[in-house]
Amino acid sequence: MVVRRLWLQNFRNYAFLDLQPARGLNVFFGPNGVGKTNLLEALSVLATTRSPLCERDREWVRWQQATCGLKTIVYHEVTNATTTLELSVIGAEKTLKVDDARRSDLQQWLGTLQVVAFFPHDLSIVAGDPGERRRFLNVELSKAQPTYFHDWTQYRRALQQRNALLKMRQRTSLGEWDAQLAHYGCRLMVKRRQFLMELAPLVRDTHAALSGTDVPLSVTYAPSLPCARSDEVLDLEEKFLQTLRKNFEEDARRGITHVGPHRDDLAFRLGDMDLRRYGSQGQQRLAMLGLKIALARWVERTTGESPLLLLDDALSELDASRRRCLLRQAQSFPQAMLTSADRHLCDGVDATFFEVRDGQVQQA
Amino acid sequence: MRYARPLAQLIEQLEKLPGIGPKSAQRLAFHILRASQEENQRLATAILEVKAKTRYCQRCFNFSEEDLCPICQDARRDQSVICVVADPRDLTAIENSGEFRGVYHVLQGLLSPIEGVLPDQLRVRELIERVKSGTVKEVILAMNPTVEGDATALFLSGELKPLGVKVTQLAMGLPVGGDLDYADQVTIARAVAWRREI
Ligand SMILES: Nc1ncnc2c1ncn2[C@@H]1O[C@H](COP(=O)(O)OP(=O)(O)OP(=O)(O)O)[C@@H](O)[C@H]1O
Ligand SMILES: [Mg+2]
Ligand SMILES: [Zn+2]
Repeated sequence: MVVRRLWLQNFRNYAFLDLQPARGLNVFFGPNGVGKTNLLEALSVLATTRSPLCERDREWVRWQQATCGLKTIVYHEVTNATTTLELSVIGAEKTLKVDDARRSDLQQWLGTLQVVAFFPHDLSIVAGDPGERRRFLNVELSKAQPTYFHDWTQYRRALQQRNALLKMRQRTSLGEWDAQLAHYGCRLMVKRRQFLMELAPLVRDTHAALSGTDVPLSVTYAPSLPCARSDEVLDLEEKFLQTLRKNFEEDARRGITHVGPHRDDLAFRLGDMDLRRYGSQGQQRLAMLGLKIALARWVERTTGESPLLLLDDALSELDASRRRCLLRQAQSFPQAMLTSADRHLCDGVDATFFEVRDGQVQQA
Repeated sequence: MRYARPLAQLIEQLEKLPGIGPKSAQRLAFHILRASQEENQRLATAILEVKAKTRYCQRCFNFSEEDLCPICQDARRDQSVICVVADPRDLTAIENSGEFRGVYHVLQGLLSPIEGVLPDQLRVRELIERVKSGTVKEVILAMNPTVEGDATALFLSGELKPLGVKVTQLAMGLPVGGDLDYADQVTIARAVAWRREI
């Protein structure tokens, strides 16, 4: 898909913006603090109605303003049609319009603009604690499959209920909560494993193209229930249930459930090296860029449409040859947007350049 | 601007009601202020009487004015089929579908350890007594398809099955994670028709 036009009103440091991005690669350059990241954040908000950079919607409303509006026209090559998305925030209320018709159901909005974004804070997916990696799994799988989101919320609820029961040191009705946990937990584990199976080869290939070396990057599912790793286990739900029963004494003593998808992790390895512990900054960054671009290819494969690729400050910390590889990858998408404080990092690249200056964007 | 004290007091009380924000509370208060004395008397009496005159049906634990609710008293209803619901609102939703001719049992909640609700806090023992009394052939579990609803249904079927009664679950066609109360009547009618054994 291609974003034909973007309007912003009172979004972060943009009082008003009317932008017409080009097909292919768009490069936004300008000094620190002028609004480059904000621009990519706005497109992410239009994709999901939430910002990947902050919890509270209030934060992206321009200071001293009560209302904020984002609007875009998206062109879909597959259907040769355009869709207009409009999101406005008035006080605490958010309204969504698709092609000028008001929508109260988020499902009717999601998917219109598919975005895969890399922001520097995504480095925590490889460098941070396991919760960051689970969040990555939960967010990406929920975007792709509404049923995953349902399974996940049900699982979390069942987990809270079971833990409450453990704290009371109660055994009556424990079996019923174990059954709920096993049912939804098993669905989560199967979906996560399947996702990783599809994603891993894409990550390996993308990373190879980015790094220009043949040391492979592997990403594997590291479930807290070890047998969930293999797809040969047919009775996973039963196995999880048995584990819950077996762990009762220890779980009751600690008042928490210590095995299950809420303790899952992902393992990133470069060759034999644990990338989280031993990887350099540049290696970790390249791995995350590989992961995100692979994710974009996965979205393309599962939805039949290329997502918009957003790369915020992706070039820094990379050497010249890897920068070239990354730019080449970005150019292979129908549309990509990249920010950089240094225009010269993209010298000679076939792209449309925009200069950003304190909430103003001008084609350069 | 501050309202006169009696008006402010009324707004304050109305605001405590579920689903009523400050704006709706003001609107209701002004409406009451403009209404006739008789109308307001009827409203006030209704509010006072609902608590004083409503109790639980001794058999099904639905709200009732007498010892037995109208459904339990109704000789045309099939006393051998009991539909188990979490609360009276769900009962009303199923009644409105007009499909069900048996009787009910209101659990008065769902299992939820977070809120301290274990089987003993629900009308489970009373249900088992009813089934043990012998005339019951089938129990239909009609809980919302939430984790709490499913855990409760699972628990009840574990308790009831050994008593030799047929246990079915009303689950087909209900919106996932939804509220039985909100499900439209066609869906509920279909769900009653499609109940499956668990
Ligand atoms: N809600 C808001 N209202 C107004 N201005 C805001 C708001 N939130 C952030 N800003 C301003 O936006 C600017 C930051 O913009 P942004 O993060 O996009 O910069 P950038 O161009 O990406 O810079 P860098 O090169 O350092 O990454 C800051 O100057 C900040 O003051
Ligand atoms: Mg930035
Ligand atoms: Zn009754």
